[in-house]
Amino acid sequence: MTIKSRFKVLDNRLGVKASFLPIGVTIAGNPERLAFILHRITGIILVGFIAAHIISTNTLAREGWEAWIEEVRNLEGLNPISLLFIIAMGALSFHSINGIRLIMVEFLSLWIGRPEKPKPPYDPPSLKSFQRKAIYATFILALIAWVAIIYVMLIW
Amino acid sequence: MMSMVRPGYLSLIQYVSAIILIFLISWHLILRFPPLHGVESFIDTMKPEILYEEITVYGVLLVLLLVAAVFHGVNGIRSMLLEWSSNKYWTLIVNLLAIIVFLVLIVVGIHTVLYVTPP
Repeated sequence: MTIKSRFKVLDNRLGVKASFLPIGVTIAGNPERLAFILHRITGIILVGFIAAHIISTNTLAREGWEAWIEEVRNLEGLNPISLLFIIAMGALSFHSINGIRLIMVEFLSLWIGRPEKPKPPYDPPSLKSFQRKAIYATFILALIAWVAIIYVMLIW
Repeated sequence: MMSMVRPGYLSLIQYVSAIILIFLISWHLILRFPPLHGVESFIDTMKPEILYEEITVYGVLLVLLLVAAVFHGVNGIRSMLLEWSSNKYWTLIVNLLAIIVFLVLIVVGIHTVLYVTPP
């Protein structure tokens, strides 16, 4: 990593704005940062989706099966509602696969390497172990899972 | 109420609910796989007779999924909102809102499982 790109990483302090502006985040040499912000954005999308899903499935108990069949028809083909559903499934794919990585790293302390004293050039020690590969694998697997879900939803 | 629970426990429950969700959401998605029900499309897996059987047979698992998902989501948003400010009133409002949203969604979800009628 060059000195210039290292300063870019140090200057990466968008605070709360970063949660809504992933493009503004410099990820040079640190994909963990992009994964962190995407985890937050997909989490916010999923909370909205879960609330909508719980309320819409309640149609079954409130209005009966005929109203439910009408609702399910909204997911047929490509339309604004099925598009929102597809976005939610993308968020779910990334959030769950990145969540597995976070459980391994944060909860079980695996894949993260040994702690070490900070010394120049201050490369993040957390990324020296399997974690960097795990982050790239997360992005790839999430994309594959998303494509598989879209295939089952729209093409099957 | 949430301030009476030690933050460390909420964090632990957040991870445990995540582990539970990985299994339950995978199961929830697999149930929408057409060949599993011998139907032709994703939409057909949500036919009344298929769904009614799922809700009645797997009602307990669906409620567990509901509780884990709503807790994980609400507590996640709550943590993000608490990062904005450590103000006492902000913390109180966020915690109260989190409890209200959690309870409302749980009640609506359980209502669906309990009061669904045969097709």
